[in-house]
Parts: sequence; structure tokens; C-alpha cells
Amino acid sequence: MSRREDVTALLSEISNGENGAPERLLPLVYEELRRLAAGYMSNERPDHTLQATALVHDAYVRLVDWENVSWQNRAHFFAVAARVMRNILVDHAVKRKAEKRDFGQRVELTENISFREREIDLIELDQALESLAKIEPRQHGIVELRFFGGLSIDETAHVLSISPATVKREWAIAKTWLYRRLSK
Amino acid sequence: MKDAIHIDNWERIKEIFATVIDEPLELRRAKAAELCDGDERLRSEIDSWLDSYEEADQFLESPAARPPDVSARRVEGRTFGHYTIEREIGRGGMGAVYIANRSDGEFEQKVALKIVRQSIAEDHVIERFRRERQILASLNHPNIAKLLDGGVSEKGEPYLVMEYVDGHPISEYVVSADLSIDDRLRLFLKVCAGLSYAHHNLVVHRDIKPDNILVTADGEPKLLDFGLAKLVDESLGIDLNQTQTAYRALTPAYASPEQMRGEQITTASDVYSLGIVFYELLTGARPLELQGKGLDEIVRVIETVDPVPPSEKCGSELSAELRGDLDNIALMAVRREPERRYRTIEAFASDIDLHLNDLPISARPSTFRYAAGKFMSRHRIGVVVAALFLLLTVVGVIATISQADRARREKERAESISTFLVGVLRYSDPKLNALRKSGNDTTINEALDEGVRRIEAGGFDDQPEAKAELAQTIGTIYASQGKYIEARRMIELYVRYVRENYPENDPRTVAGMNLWAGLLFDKGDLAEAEVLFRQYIPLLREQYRSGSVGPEVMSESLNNFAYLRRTQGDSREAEMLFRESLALMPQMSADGWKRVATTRSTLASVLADQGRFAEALATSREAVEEFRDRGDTDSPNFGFALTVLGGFQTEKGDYVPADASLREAGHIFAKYVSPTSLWLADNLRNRAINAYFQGRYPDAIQNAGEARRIYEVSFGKHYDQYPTALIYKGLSLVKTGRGEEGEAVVREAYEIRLRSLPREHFWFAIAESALGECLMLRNKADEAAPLLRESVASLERSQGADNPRTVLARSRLNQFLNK
Repeated sequence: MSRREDVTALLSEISNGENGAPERLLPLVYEELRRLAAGYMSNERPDHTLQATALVHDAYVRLVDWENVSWQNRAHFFAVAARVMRNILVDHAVKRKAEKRDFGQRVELTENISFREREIDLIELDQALESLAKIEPRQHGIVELRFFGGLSIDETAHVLSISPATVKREWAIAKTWLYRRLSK
Repeated sequence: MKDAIHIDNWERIKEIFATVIDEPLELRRAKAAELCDGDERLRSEIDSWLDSYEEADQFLESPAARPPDVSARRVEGRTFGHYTIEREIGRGGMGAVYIANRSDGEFEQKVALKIVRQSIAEDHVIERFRRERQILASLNHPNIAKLLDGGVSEKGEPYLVMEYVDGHPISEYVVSADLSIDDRLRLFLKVCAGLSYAHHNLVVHRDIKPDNILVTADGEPKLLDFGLAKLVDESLGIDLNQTQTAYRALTPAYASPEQMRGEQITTASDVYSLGIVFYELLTGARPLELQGKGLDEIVRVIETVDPVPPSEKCGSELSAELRGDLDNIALMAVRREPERRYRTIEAFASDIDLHLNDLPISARPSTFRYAAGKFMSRHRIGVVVAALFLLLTVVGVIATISQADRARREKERAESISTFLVGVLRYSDPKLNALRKSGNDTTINEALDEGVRRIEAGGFDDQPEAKAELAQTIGTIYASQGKYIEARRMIELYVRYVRENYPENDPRTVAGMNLWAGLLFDKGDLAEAEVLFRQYIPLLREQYRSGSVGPEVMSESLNNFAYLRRTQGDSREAEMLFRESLALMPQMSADGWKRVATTRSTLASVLADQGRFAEALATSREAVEEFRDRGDTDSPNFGFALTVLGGFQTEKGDYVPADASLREAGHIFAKYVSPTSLWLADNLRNRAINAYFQGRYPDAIQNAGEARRIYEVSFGKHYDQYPTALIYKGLSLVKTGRGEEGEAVVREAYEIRLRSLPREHFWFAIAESALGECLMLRNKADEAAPLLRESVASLERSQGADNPRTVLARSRLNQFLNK
């Protein structure tokens, strides 16, 4: 079987609730995203921005027989990708911070993740998420899926097997908690 | 510490916080105080959380997996294709816009260049981007800013080059130019013309707002950024997460409810957005108060709040002018349910036009519903509805040969096919996703192609009946799109199936042959179609006598054959066939009279072809009166009868009553038929002729152009009325000083007639006479003379000396001789 068939099959196994499938999927997605990320970086753009969307999109198209995958299975893919993306993005941020330290610049990932006129510091966000994981593991999961995986409320609910209403509520709490933490 | 969690009351904080954030903003703190029940520390903690919550707003709402902004980089002075960036002039959701100059030294041209905020590198994405761009670039209308060029830079930035429009947003323009309400309406009609043109070309704007409608210094409105939202979203494949669509709904203040919900976007969404603009032009305010609201709140307001009539939104002196018609028009355009809005931009425009002319409009307050509305509400399942609505629209067009009750039949067919579509779409999520992504206009073809693929892959072999029916529907739709090869494949499959599975006298076999013959006819294979008709009409007659075929089927087939014979020039056989069809009336069901009245209108045309003009006029009048007597004055069939009558009245020279008939019909069609319907085209054609003879040349050009376009889109250039539309467009162009252009158009009409008709056919003579007139106006006497002479001689033979067609040709000749 090709990697593509592997991943697609694993996604249906996850949907069917088979144990261990997500764990087996993770390394495949991880490997592909890492490989692609390295490619993106070496194929350097002068400004060093990492195109997170393009990256995930590429990995998805390469790894999944996307024409034959339901939205539920797709959500599972992005759920796994979310974890990997968080890793890659934070690593990238650390690396760029080191490179640019002398200029006192912040990580520029996208123009869209700013709030109140300033960029989100992914490194701080990552640390805050770790703290959140200790007290509210479910909220931590929701933020990861929503923010790093781009999952909607409904998709998040599906992946975590909870109701959309719960996702909405927990998301609001987690967002507020993180906001307070980061704007301290 | 602000962020510290007091473990002892963390659970309570969460609970109260989660409860109160569902309350409207202004009630939250009161509710919190109540729930805290005197615990001041808890209350102040909750208050502080609420402050953070409201401040946080968009925090983390945009996923990290978003593209970087290419426009944030320095681009001034850079070259994109032939264009060099001069300076930035604006920024929008998609990226930044710059003024650029064409830099290849060929000629100076100032353009607007938009750099899309998303980089692409993959070949297939670039290819898709190019294809989509070509569709948009083919839009050519005075009220649409043209897409000139585009590409992908060496850095992977997609960019678009557009006509630079130096103007002001329409909402500002009407204020600064201090336009009266009527002038605003006239300006707005031009916007409608542009939009309707695009819709006819299957392009939905998706982001209509005043900022995208600029009015130039000479008062000409131009629509900007046509279809760009879709081009960028979908051809670049950004939209991985369809539920995010709502967040990207471009401009919430003008977005339709279905757009806000992230559902399928159709031309109805454009109607809504344009309705908001209309409202704003009248009142200076938008119907709903959405300023400063969060997305959820916006959706809630759009879903629940009914807009107040414009007359209640403005000062008293304006109020009286808006009350009534304009209130109804505005509210009809912004109805929440797409199927209850104006079905087309033309219908919207037509009401405005009627209002300007002090004629009754179609919009009614309260619960007026369109025919399609009921159908829609029965099948309300998101994307399928959208696909089906289009299916319906398309199917509605196919009313080919005889049109009696065709719409009803097609609707039934569409309903049965809906069962299938629902099946396909429901049971295979991937395609559903693909369809959702692809947007409306391509959806229909994707669905059809998918249907063909599955049929040919044997996907329905276990359901032969459904397969045959599907093949028939797809074939019919393909035929209407002019995809005759695919259409024939599908229809052949159907015909083969019914012939193998049903006896020769089964209505389904007959229907199959009927369809096949119709397809041949549509395609212009008149002789082949005739052979087939001659084969099965006798068969049908037998079946009719034995009772296995009803009078409706019999009569429709006769009508089809009659129409074919008419086109072939044998109006006598056509007349006999029509009369045979009319004789079936007593056997028909209760509303059979409607079919008969419609047949009578067609018969009138055949009589006129034979030169029996007075009889034709009387017969067509009878048909109209039959509808009026029976009180059925609001149906497409009535519109058709009026259109035919209006045509004869025009020929006779009764321009004013003709105008009234044609307008009344136009008003009905705007409500009930699709924008590419043949009946609508006939109506526009007759309006063009009427306008021409009354010297209203711009109207004639507009209407004839529109009719010509529908004929071409729905049938192709071989359609028998296509040249007629060309003739009046061409002559009107000549009259308005566009001689060269006009001559080419009239010549095209003449050439088509020359190729497809026998020389003695009166349609050929009419084209001959028109070309003669055109050349006479162009001072090409040598070429004009024989044409004018021969056409008169020919018409005298085929139509008689007193026939209006002969009279017209003769008057042209006399004018020429007196010159």
C-alpha cells in the first residue's frame, strides 16, 4: 500500500473508532509535514515566513485520497496535523527569534494572528497552553484543534466526541483565560 | 494576580461566566451579579473575566494555518507581467490594490493591479487560477470593470490586472451629485444591467457593496471585482475548511443570510446584496444595524430581524416618495429566503423600470411566493437545493419546440431527478464536499459530469429505470448548454433503454423518440429530425386512437413536428399539424385550454408566414382573450400569447398597444421564467423591433442584444430567430452612428439565412431587405439596389402585396429610389 492509501485507511479506522489508529497516523503526518516544512524553508523566501496553510494543505493532498474522504475523516487528519503544526510553528518561531534577536523583531507568521495591534507570540502562547493543559486538558485540546488545526466548532466536537455546545463554551473560557494570561 | 486561578472557586467562575456570556452584552453584568448572589469578590472576578472576554473578541479566531500577506512587502516599482506598480490605492480582504502602468512601451495604460494575499506554486493550482481568470476576462460590459490580465509572479504571488476606474462609491456619488430618487433609480438600473449580464454568463459577483460599484465623473457606474472572491478562494484552493467560510464572508453588512451561514452562494445572494445597496441608495442607511457586532450576533440579527421599509428609515419629505412601490421593491430584494427574493436581477430591474414608468410592479408586501419557492422549500437540504435550483433553471430553458406546459413537465422531471441527486450527494460525502467548495455555477456541471461518469462506469446498472431517467435529464440539460455530443450520448442511452424495455406504443418510448427528434432539431439537423418525426407521428396517431397515448402527448408531439415544418419553410403542413393538435382539445384535461391557447398563438405565426396576416393577428388576439376571459393573466403561457400578439401589432404599426402587450408579458416573464428562457428572448426580440420602429435605438440595441444572447446560449446560432435579433441590433447600431459594426451584424444575419434557408423563404427575403436598408444607410447603393428589389419581389410572392412585411420592404425600396 502507498502512504496515501495507508493514511486514508487509517482515517477510516479512526472514524470507526478503532483503537490505536490515531497513534499510528501521527508519525506519518509528522514525517510528511516535517519534510515539507524543511522544503519550504530551504526553498527560501527572503522574509522567512512559513506558510502554514500551504504546508498543511500540501501534506493533506499528498497523504490523503481526499476525494474519497468524508469531512469527519478529514477533521481527524487536521486534528493530527494540528499537533504537528503546533510543534513546527513553535520551533520555527524559536529559530526566527534567535535569528532576529538583534533587531528586536517578533515572529511574523501571518497578518491574521495579531490581536490588539500586536502579534501573538507563539512561544508565549505555547507555554500558556502547557499551563492550561494541567488544569483543563480538554480546553487545551480544543484550542490546539481550533487554532493550530483550523477546525471548526463542529469538526472539533466530532473529533473530541463532545457536543458543539460544549466546544463553544469551553472555547470561550479557554480563549479568555489565554488572553488574560498573554496580555498580562 | 489577574490570571491566577483560585482553585476553590474556579468551577464557579467557569459556570457563571459560561452562563452569562450567552446573554446580550448589556445584560451580562446584571445577570452575573444576580448569580453571584452577594459574593462581591466573585462578582468582581467575573466582571474582570467579562472585560477580558469582550476585549479578546477575535483573539485566536483566525487559525495559525493562514497565509502570509504578500502585500505587506514592498512592491512599489516591481514588475508583474507587463505592468509596473506605481503606488498602493487600497486594501481589501483579498490583498492590496495598486495603480500600475503598462510597461512594455507599446502604449500607456493605467490599470489597477491586485496582488492576492496567497502564494501558489503548484502547476495545477496555477492552471485552475488561469482558467477561472479566463472566464472573468470574457465578461465584457460597459458597467463592469474589465479584468484585463493576470498571472502568477516569479515569487508565486497571484495577481490580477483590472481596468482602472476613477470614480466614487455609488453611495457617496448619489449624495455628492445630489441625485433625485428617480435619477438614483436610473443609475441603479445600469448597475443591474452589468450584474445581469454577468449572471447570464454564469458569473456570480459574491461581494457586492458600494465600494465595489464606482461611479465615474460622467455618471457611469462600474462594478468592480467581479467573481474575484470565488476566483481567489476556490481556484487557489485555500478553502480547506468550509465552515470557516462565514468568517470570510466578505462584507457582513452586505452579505446574504445564506452567505453568512457559509452555504451555497447563488445569483440570489447577489440579488440580496444589491438589495442592501438599493436600500442604502434610497435612505442613506442600511436596513439592519450590524455595526460593531460580532459574527454570531450579526448572524442572529440577519436571521431574525425584519428590515423596516425604506420609507420609515428616512425623513418625512422622502418618506412619501418611497412608500408603496419602492418599499416593496427594496423589501422583496432583501428577503431572508433566497427563493422569496426577486428570482433574477432582471426581475428586480424590471420592477424599478415599471415604477419609473408608473406601471404596476410585481413585488408585493407580505407573502408573495414564486412558483419555484414551493419546490425549493420542499427540498431544503443545502447544496442539493442549490444544485437543483440551477437544474430547474436550466431545465426550464429547454422548452424547445412547443412550449405548452413544458415548464410543468420539466419541473416534474427535475423532481424525480432530485431523488437521484440527493442520493448521489448524500451517500458520497467527498463529492458533496467538492460541490460545496466549487460554488454554484460549476456545481451543476460537476454534478452532471459526475452523473455521466457514474452512469458510464456502470454505477446504476442495478437501477436501470433511474439510470435511464438520469441519462435523459442530463442529456436534456447538456443539449440546452449546446453540448450536443454528450447530450446525444445520454439521450441515446435513454432511448435505447425505453425501446428495449417498453413496447413501441409505450408513452416512454414515444417520449424518447420525441426527445431525440427535438435534440436533432435543436442541433439544426432539420432533415434528420424530420425523418424521425415522420416515423413516429403515425405510430403515435395509432396509439392515440387505441387509447394508449393521451391527447396531451399527442398534441405536444404534433406541435413539435409542426414547428419543425414551419422552420423548414413548409408553413402549410405546419398549419395542418397545428390544427390537428387543436382538434384534440375537447379530449384534454381541465386545463387543456391553456395548451390550446398557446398552440393557437403558434398557429398564428404560421398563418402570418403564409401571408395571411389579418388572420394571424386575429388568431393571436383570440388566444390572448381566451386567457383574459378565463382570468388566467399571470402565467408564462399568457406572457407568450401577449408576446406573439405584440409582435403582430408591431408589424402592423400599432406601436403603442404593442408596447403595452410586450411590457405586460415581460413583467410576467420576469417573475416566472429563467433568464435564458426562449419565451423571454422572443419577448425581448419583439420589444427590440418595437423600439426600433419607434426610434428608440438604444433600447432596441439593448433588447435585441439580450435576445440574441439568449438564443445563442440556449440554442446556438442556427436557431431560427437568432438572425432576426441580429437584424434589429445591427440596424439600430447603424442608426446610432455605429455603421461599420452594425453592417457586420446585419450581414451575419443575412449570411445565416442564406446558408440555412431556400431562397424563396420569406425569412430570407426579410433579411435581404434589412441588409438592403442597412447598405442604403451606409451609402452603398450598388450593393443595396438588387437586395431591395429582390426582397420586394420575393415577399410579394410569398406574403402578398398588402402584407406588412411586403409593405415594409417596398417602402425601403421606394425610399431608396427617391434618394
